[in-house]
Amino acid sequence: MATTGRAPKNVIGLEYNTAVVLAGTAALGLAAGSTGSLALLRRRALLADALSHATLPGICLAFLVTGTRHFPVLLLGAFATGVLGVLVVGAISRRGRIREDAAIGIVLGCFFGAGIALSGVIQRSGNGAQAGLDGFLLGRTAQMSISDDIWIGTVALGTVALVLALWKEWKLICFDPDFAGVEGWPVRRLDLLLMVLITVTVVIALPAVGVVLTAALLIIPPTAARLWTDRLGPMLVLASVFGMLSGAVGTAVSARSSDFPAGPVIVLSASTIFVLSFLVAPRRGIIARTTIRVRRRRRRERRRLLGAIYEGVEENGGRPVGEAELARRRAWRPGLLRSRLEHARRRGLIDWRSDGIALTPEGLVLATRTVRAERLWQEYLRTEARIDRDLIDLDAEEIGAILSPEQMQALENSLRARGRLPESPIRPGEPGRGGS
Amino acid sequence: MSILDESTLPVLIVAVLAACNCALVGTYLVLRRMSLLGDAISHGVLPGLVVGFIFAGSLDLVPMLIGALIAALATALLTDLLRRHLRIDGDAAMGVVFTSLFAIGVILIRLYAEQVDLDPGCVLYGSVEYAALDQAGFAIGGWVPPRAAISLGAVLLLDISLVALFFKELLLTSFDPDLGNAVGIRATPMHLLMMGMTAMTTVASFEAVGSILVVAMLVVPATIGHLLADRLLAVLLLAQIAAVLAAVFGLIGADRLDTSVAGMMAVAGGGLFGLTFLFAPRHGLVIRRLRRLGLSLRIAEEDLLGEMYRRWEQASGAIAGEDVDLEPVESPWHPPWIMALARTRLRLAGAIDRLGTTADLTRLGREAARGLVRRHRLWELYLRERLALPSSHLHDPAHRMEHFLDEDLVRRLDERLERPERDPHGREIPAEGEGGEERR
Repeated sequence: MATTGRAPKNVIGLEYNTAVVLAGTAALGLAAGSTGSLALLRRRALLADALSHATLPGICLAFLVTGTRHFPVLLLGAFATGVLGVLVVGAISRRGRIREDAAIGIVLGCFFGAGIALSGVIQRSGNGAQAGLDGFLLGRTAQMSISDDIWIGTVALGTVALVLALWKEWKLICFDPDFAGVEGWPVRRLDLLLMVLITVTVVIALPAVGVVLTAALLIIPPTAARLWTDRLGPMLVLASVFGMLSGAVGTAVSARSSDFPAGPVIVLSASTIFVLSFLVAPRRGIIARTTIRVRRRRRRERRRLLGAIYEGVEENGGRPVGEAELARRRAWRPGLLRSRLEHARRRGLIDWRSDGIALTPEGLVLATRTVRAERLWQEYLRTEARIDRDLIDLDAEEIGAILSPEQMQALENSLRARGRLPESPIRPGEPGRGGS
Repeated sequence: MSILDESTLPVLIVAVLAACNCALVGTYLVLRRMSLLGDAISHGVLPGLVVGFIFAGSLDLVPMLIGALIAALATALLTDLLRRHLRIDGDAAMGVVFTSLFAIGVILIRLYAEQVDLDPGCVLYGSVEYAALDQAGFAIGGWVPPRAAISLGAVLLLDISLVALFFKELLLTSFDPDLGNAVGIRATPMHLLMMGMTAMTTVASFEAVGSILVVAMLVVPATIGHLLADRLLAVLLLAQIAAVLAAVFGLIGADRLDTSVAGMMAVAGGGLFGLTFLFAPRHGLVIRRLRRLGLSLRIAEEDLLGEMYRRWEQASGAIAGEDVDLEPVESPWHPPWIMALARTRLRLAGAIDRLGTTADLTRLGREAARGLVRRHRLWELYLRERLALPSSHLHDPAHRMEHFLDEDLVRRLDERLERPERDPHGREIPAEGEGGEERR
């Protein structure tokens, strides 16, 4: 967990100031990761965007009214209009005529416009303090003083503590709000509390990330974390770690070169983490998914090939089957067939001789299983569902899991009676003696 | 200053053109539930704009448009990729993509800000004032139009002709994509057309209103149109009017407060939206509240009359018309103030005297109440005969239905039940119209 403000001088070669800011943004990442995860699961991701834009007029108003650049005051203003924005989205979209997406667009645009107009007023009033407000648009960590930073860090940790304290409640309203309502949990009040937590997180993120991009800090790390896990706990932890990492990296880069506003760099660090997750996450990552898909397709193709060989051998009365005949059987293109045959031979499933192709014992076991399941299915669909045989092309092996043992027995008997039931124990050396 | 004087006219023209452009595309975006795609595209085009700008070295529309179209397409495709292949919630997928692209755009601006003349502030929240100052290299009738007005005008013309050309297709795919598919109008090309138009409009307008306020201009006038009308053509026209008004009021407001025109346009749009939301003739909040109030008042009046009639009926059965019941009728269904209002209205209408005790029911009031009680008892009988409900279950549904049965239905109920005289509880069903009382 990040400590706030008490980092010693010259850790990892950073100046004291930078170290403090670093700790602050890391705490921020922690808070954003955890509240963002809840927002994402509650499908409120883009509401956070409207919310962060809606804080701008609050900052400007607070400055206009009080005339100070004191952080807590400005952030209080931001909090006020942020909450107002969320309430307006709710009030507009609850009536049904206007959908939530349009309501979010309206609040985002109009509140932000009001903020721009107010900042124009401030600018032209010649107050000289305009520079302080500019940082709020895209974030400028360099401006944060140590006391600001301690303040932000404390609020961030408080938010995280609240998330942990109401763990069971969040879990309930994220995954099954209807059930939670039936069980008598105050779903609406919890939802409201969640929105307040999100607003608080957005507000304390403003000085570092800026109005325009704060939502990204709440959306991207949790979305990346979601790719790694299906459980709430690990997701929150991962999202927080991602948030902290991007916050820290963004701040460090922005501190080293004053060209870069912190906000975009923080967001891009988060995006990088997202892209990496997107590629390598176990199960949901693009690499894992492609591998699974390719493997599954290969397996299916291999089975089809073995099944075709089995049937060919069966029809030839046990003699090996020629390549041309195989190609005709399933309308394979010659090149494709050849590569598949090569593949099967390398795996030791077929015996490719000069007089044709036969199955090895291993291949025979697989082929028997495939053809058996296929014919059982065909028989089932033909007799029970009255579907034309020619329309059936199934290679599911799970037929035994779907039908009852009695049904299976009847199907097997029916097939066996016509000599078309592949029996499993076929001795090597007499390939494809299908029935009998 | 007048908004039509020489120095403000170009600003007004640019503002109105940008607003109208956005409103036209926005009407379809809102209709197709793509409002947030507008948001995403308007953010996501930023890196495309900047790259196009870096290549061309000027605020030339064509290279920036190409860059932006590519970026818009990337936004949409990436969102789709994340949604479909990673099963990420649509909103979140969009949020990930457009914020990342936007961050890239901002960093690109910072990196190349020295070499090219592009102010990040301007890109973010635009500046109608500066856009209006940048004059085109030619004159129309002695007047040199702003360059932004030329590009905005060209894009507006293109948008209008695209909408006119594909009006039927857009209409069909917006309201019923399945029917569209069935008659051979595919939804995907129209979706792509929408994305292209959004990207084009965003690029043309960003100089004036900035890439964030574009969202307000896309969504707000369009939503106003949708609140005021149901037919697409009317919605389109109303959205245009709202856009013009937002631009004009925004300009006036910006002049008064001496601040950003684009910001004030969004604020003016928000104000117009607020007014429409409250006072729109059919969907406005106030109107709907009033309509609901009217309904509850009518029901309260009818309940009051019905209850008084029943008491009168019981009393006159017992003591021949003398009033024994001096308790004013209260109702557990309606709040006291509605009842008080209902009582006052009934007294003004001459249906009751004084406070609403049994004896206060006038002849006129009895006449009105008889119809209601008749509906109530007919419905009870119907439920009893046709649905065989137990008698304890008859009152509540009848108590609701009595307010909504019209004359025709009552007549048919009467015929179906073969003109009954008694309800399931054995009470008399009052006869229709005049002379009912004499039948007693």
